[in-house]
Amino acid sequence: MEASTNPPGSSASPWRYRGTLFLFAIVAAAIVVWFQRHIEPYVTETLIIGGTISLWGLWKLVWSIFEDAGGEGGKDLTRRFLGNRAALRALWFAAIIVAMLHFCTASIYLRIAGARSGEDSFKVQILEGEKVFMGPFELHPGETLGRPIFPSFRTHELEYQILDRRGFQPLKQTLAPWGTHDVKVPGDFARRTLHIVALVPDKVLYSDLPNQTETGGERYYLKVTAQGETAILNDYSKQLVVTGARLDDLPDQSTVSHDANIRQELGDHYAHAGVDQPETVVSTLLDAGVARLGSAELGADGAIEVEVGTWEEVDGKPQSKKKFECSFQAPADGALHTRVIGTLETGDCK
Amino acid sequence: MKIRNCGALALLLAAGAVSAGPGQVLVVVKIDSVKFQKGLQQSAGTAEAAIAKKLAAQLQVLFPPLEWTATAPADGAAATFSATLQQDDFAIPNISLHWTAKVGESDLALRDLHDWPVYQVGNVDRPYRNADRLVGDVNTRLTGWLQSDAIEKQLHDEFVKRVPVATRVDLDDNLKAVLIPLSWARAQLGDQSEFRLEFTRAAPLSQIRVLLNGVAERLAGTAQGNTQSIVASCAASGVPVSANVWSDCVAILEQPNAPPLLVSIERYEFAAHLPGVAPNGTAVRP
Repeated sequence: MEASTNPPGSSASPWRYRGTLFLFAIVAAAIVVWFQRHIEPYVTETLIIGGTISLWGLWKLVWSIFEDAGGEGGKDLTRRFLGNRAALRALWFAAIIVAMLHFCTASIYLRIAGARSGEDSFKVQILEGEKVFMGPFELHPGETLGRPIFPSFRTHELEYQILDRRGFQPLKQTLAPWGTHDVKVPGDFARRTLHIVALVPDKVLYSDLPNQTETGGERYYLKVTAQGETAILNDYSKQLVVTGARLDDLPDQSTVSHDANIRQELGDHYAHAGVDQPETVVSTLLDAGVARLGSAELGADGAIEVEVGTWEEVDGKPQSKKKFECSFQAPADGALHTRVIGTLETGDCK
Repeated sequence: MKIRNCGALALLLAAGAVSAGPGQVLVVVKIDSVKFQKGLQQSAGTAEAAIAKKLAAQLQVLFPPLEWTATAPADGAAATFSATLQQDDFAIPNISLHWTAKVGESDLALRDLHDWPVYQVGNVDRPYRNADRLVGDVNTRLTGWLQSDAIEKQLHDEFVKRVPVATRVDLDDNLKAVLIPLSWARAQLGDQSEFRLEFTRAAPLSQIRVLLNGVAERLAGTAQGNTQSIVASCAASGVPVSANVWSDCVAILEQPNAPPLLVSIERYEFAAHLPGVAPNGTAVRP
């Protein structure tokens, strides 16, 4: 029974042969896993399929030459090869190589996933400390960018940053020497919730403020204090002022003027304020350049203080006179909202 | 035909001393609103002058017998008509034009000529710093103001009637006509226009008030091209004079030491006169 399972020309026992087969299977699986984790995203599917077919054809060509030269048939080759004592040693060596590949290959790949409508490209860079580790990459839908890192002997503390869009927090991840990062952009990045307010003059303040093109007469300033930080707009005119976040995070003119919340809240306010032709006032404010006043980033219901006054130059030095100050909280929901400032219609100001 | 110049250089009447330049009205505009003063600063004066010039031009069209000017005449004007841009105490102040007037140095009471709003509370778009826009806005409001028949009547009754248009007259004893030194072509008087001649008669002491109508162009002789009128009625200190009207009420102005007199518009009616006969006697209008 035992003799019948021995392959011809082999000195290995059947159990040894089965063990060799088992090890072969494990090494083969490990190679596939390694390839799939670190290499597959790096090469195209065409290359994988084409390469496999080419290798199979090349193998068949070599073997047919071998047979023509008097070599034995391939029928029992596997058994004779794997049943050989040297085969086991070779497989152990291969296993060590594959293990080394596993432990010393890291990879980073980026792809677009979790984007919202209109978010069709992203610029991403990867930092390790202060240094750029990889990128920046210009990422488009359908693309997978990145590469394997070999040899990789140490752990990397990485920070992924989306460079060309505001509102995403950096993604911090640790890359082990054998690790792989498959980062979905922007799906893996936490979106920041900003609590930005648009300051709207009440009708009294609106009537007193200069138009943006007017330079003469009494000039107005607007001062915002949030979390102990103060920012000043020196030439406050008939315009909206957005604040509540760092300057780079504040929305621009187009975003503010097309914001549905802002348009509705402005229209409602001036319609109820008893202003002649409220739509003209709303248009004036939306068409004027929005003043972006960077401040400390407000949290939900974060306190913000606003002071408005007039100033003039006396003997070359500015002399200001406070008109009123307001204190209110930032909107909690993260949407852009208005806050009316002035002494006539709001209890937040005095 | 006997023509006498019965002019006087000055006349003291109830309204007070009338300065030189009868018929001339100085139009003054003053920006008294603090909001506009602070905003316009130096350009406030320019705005005042521009508004005054426009207002004078509009009033000239409305009441051509008077000479409305925004520039003070060298020898003074008979009257002053002032518009003051003022504000009230509301948070968003009402901005309006307030009217005052003087004849000579005496203030006139314009009881029916109420303030005219320029910016009301609901209008929050105010050009506090823009003189050009202010001038445009005020001129627009003034145009609307002067197009009102009621305003025209109030201006006529409360101001125009009180402005002396002449301090001397010529008399045509043959025609029993009183010649007013007022250019017929410029005054554009309608047939129903009337003038008032006033002076103080010494003996017996009385206040003479002569109503002149039948206005027409003086076509020849002395004062040609001026306004000719006839006596419609006369009252001596309120008592109608029915007999010897010409001699008792008018001819005394021919005497030596004739009293100073004043001619004012009693009723103004507009008429655009087309020339009927050219100076060479040719008829140009059937």
